[in-house]
This record gives sequence, C-alpha cells and structure tokens, in this order.
Amino acid sequence: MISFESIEDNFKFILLETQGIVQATRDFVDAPSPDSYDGVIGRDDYIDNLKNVIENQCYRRIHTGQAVSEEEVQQIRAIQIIAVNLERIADNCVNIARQVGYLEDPGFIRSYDYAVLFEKVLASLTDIYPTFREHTLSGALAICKIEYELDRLYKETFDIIMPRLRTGQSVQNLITTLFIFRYLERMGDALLNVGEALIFAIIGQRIKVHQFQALQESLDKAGFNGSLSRLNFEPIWGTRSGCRISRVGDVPGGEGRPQEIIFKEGNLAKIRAERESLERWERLFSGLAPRVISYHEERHTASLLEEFLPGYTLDEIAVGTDRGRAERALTELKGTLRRVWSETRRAGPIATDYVGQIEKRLHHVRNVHPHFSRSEQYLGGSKVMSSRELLSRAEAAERKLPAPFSVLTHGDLNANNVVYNEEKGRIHFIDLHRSRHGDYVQDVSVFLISNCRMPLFEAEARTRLHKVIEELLSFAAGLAREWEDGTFGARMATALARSLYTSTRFELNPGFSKEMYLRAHFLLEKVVAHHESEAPWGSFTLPSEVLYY
Amino acid sequence: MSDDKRFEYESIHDPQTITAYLQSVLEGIVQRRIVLTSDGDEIVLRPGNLLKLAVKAKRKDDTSRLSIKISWKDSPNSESAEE
Repeated sequence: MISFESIEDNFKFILLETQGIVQATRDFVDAPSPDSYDGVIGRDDYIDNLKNVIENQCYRRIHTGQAVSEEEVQQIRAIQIIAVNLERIADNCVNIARQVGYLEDPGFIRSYDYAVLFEKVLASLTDIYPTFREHTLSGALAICKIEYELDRLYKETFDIIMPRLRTGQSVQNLITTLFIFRYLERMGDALLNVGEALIFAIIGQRIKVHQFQALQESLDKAGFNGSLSRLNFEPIWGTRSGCRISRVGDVPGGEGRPQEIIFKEGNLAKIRAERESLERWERLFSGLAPRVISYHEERHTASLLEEFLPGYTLDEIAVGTDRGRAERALTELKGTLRRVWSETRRAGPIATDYVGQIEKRLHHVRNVHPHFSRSEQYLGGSKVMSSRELLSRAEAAERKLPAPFSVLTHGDLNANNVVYNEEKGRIHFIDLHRSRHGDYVQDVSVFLISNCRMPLFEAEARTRLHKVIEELLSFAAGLAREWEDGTFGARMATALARSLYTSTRFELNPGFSKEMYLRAHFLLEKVVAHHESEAPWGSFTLPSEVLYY
Repeated sequence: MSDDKRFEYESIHDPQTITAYLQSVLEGIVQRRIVLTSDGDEIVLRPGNLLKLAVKAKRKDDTSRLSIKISWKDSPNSESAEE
C-alpha cells in the first residue's frame, strides 16, 4: 500500500527539482556552457521520471480499494495535477536551453530583462509547498496571479522586440529572444493550473480562478465576510448552471441562520438578462422568483448571487412516487400560471417564432443526429415534403397564426425550472434569463415536452408523466377557451413541434429521439395541411397523442 | 443493374394520410409499376403476375404492429427494360 507520506515526499522532490531546473536554466542563459546545458537536460529527465512515479502512486493510492477519505482524494488529485504542470515547466526550461543555441551572440539577450520572469517563476515554485501544507487560499490565488504578471512582462518585451525586428537587423537574435520569453510566459500558464489545483485542494471543488474571484467580489458586495474556505461550495449540475453555496456562519440580516445562496457567473449578457428579469418578477410577483442578493459586472462576464429557493423541482416530483405531492405541486403550478398570465395579459396580437427557432437549432440537431432531416420523397404519386420545404411552408402558416394576446412568460418553463416548496405550499420559478412578454403557449409547450421527453420507460413512470401532461394541457386548453384564443391548437402544435425537434439534440437514445423527430414532422405537416386547406384555425384539432409515449 | 437499390421511408401519420400513401402504392401494383423517389434517386418496381403477400400482426404491451410484405421475383425482361 502506497502511503500518502511517500506521495508527499515525491511531491517535495519534484518541487525542489523544478526549482533546480529553473535556476539552472537561468544560469545557462546568463552564461551558456556545455556543462550547464547538460545540467538542464539531465534534470528534465529526472523530473519526467518523478512525475510518472507520482502519477502511478496517486492512482494506486486511490484505487487500492482501501478507504481513502474524500479529503485525501482531493489532496492526491491536486498533487497529480501539480506534478503534471511542474513537468511542463521543466519542458519549457529545456526548450529555452535549446533556443540559446540559436543566439548568434549569446550575450544578446542580456539587454532584455528575462531575469525578472525567472525570479517570479522561482518565487511561485517556492510558495507551492507551504500553500499546499497550510491550505492558504491567498497563497493559491497569488500563484494564479503570476500568470497575469508573466503575460504582462512577455507583452512588454514583445512590444520592444517587434519594432526592432522591422529594422531587419539581428533578426535571428531577436526571434530567438522572443521565443525564450514565450517559453517563460508559458510557465505562467502551468503555474495558473498549479494555483487552481491548490484552490481545489483547499475548498474541495474544481473552480476556475476567475469564477473564484467573481464569487469573492460578489460576497464582499453583499456584505458577507469571512474566509471562503469555510464555505460549503457545491457546483450545481444540469441546467441550473452556476454554483450553489451554502455559507456556514452568520449572514447579515439572516438572524444568524445559515443561508444558502445561488452563485452564477458567466456570459455578461446572459447574467445581466437574468438579473433584470429577476428584478422585474420581484416587482410584479414578489417571492415567486429568487431575489437578487448582489450583482457584479466585469468586462465580458458578470456574476450574480441570488436567493436559493428550497424545494423539489417538478421533474423530481414527476419522477418520484409521492402522488399527493405531485398533485399539490401541479395544482399550485396551475394557480400560479393563471395568476401570472391573468395579471400580465396585454391585448393585441403578437407574432411567434417557433419554426424560426427550429431552423436556428437545426444544425445542432444534425450534429447529434445527422439523419434527422428528410429529403423529398415520392411514394408513387404521393409526395412527401422534405424537411426544408416543410419548415418553410410551416413558417408561412405561422405568420398567419399570431397569439391573440401576450403575457409575461417564463421563457424556459422546463419542469426542472419550477420549484415546489411543500412546506409553504408554493411554486417558484428559477432560471429566468429568457423571460419576456410573449405567447403563453410557448411556456406550456416547453413544460409539456420537458415531461414527455424524460427518458423513463417503465409503464408506471410513463403513466405518472402522462397524468402531468394531460392535466396541464387541459388546463391550458381551458384557459384558451376562456380567453377566446381561437388559434391555440395550431400554435400549440407548432410550438410542440419546435420543442420535440430541438430537444432531440439532448437525447441519444436512437428509438426515442427518432420518435420525437418524426412526431415533430407529423405536427408540422398537420399545421401546413390545415393552413393550405384554408379552413379556419378554430377547426384545427391538436393531435394530443403526440405527447404520450 | 438495379441490384441493391433501396428506398426507405419512415414517418408518423394519421390514418387518412397513411391511407393516401398506401393508395398510391396500391395503384402502382394495379398498374404494374411502382416508382419510389428519394432526393431525386429513383427506384422502379414492376410487380409481376405472381406476388407473394405476407401479413403479420403482433400485439405486445402497449404496442401493436401490422406488417404487410409483398415480394416477387423479377423476370429478366422487366429488369432490362428498366435499365
């Protein structure tokens, strides 16, 4: 059995050796000689070897079947990642030593300040072990930051060298010098990976340093203080992209109770849209959507802390066996939707873009399922429209099918974006970045298909899903009658086709995804045939069988 | 040679549409010439005087299946006439 201590010993060795090779490389650049060259190359072989030993030990330690604590697994994973990156640094040293041979004048490079880059790399390497040992987050962040420093220093030198190159003199010396700085800059990339591995070892989650900094700033803005290493930090899978944090300790205004928060970081436009939408929902329907706790923008990214709403998502409930809960949740959802739509309803037709949305996502679908598009066919005298033709004729039909009124829509009403809090008996909406005024049929169709496409095939589970689908569809059809929405059926068919077709890109089960694709075609063919028969839209019958599998 | 020529079609329809498609195929049988085209590629079948008809029906759980298979041996004349 490999002991953790022996891994840690080798970890110390590889750190010392990497410091050694960086120092040796610097000495060689200062004063090249065959002996000092061999010193660099020889050390690299040794470091390669050490890295392999460490990797073997790490994997063996984890896979021996003996109980290794989660925390130790984290430490081992961090060591393995760091070892790989130290070996990259050593490779860059060898590359530098080789480059020196191309300098026509070995002293040429001395007029450029390479020493400062070497010093920064060396200082970082020295800090790795104490940071690892003492779990100092600030130390890990400082190591990450070296990458920015080295980038900046590289850029400075680059800006000096470029105009000199243009003079056409000392070209070989200049290019070689540039290469050497480039290899030094690459050591910074490896150090960034090392720093992120250290953060992982400390907080137990893989997190990119920019996300980490965004999180820290968001927490600071929200008035939380304290060490981030005390937070229980948990990434959220699936569509609730971002990370969930549960903070241990006092939260201002939280009566000292521990509070959970959702942290989202990413694309500026998306996060900004989410924030604006959350604030709008809060004004209109306080408590229905998460409250914004803090918001922070960088140049291209933004981060958002929002309230974590406890409860079950409706997909969890649909999959679960508690029928009573499922019924209560569905009743509550219907009540919430009726309230939201009634209160935000605006008279006047609004165009929809269901077919356009299919077309926009068609290449994603074809990437996953290359055959999910039909070419024109004839069975004797009967023509089968190609997918392309079908879509363009469906688009023409859709233009005649505006929604008679608009409401504030969720925009992505997947079952997993609806949370049911059983204790309070209320529904919450999450992930609202696509929310806008539009056709309520879109929300209904997305919700229906999110249930329909759940990859559950046992009869009992399917019956539960069918019940949800049936109830929500009849609720929506009832509203349509009440609100005299004469094109409901045809719009629903088009919207369902859109969700079925575009959802196939998330479904790899060949039979199930093909069924979705064929049903989408069937629905569109129905809409097109009805439109071209010039029958009134009110006489369109939605073939609701498409929702049952 | 028309060896290995294939035509495949798969879809979901309501009974009226399926009837219309089958009707087109039936007409072809009566006229002894069924043309099937896919993206410009044509396959012409010439049903002869002797056609084998196999009908299979199956019901399992909540799925039913009815397969109708019509096959025949092409006479050498009909093939070369097509090529």
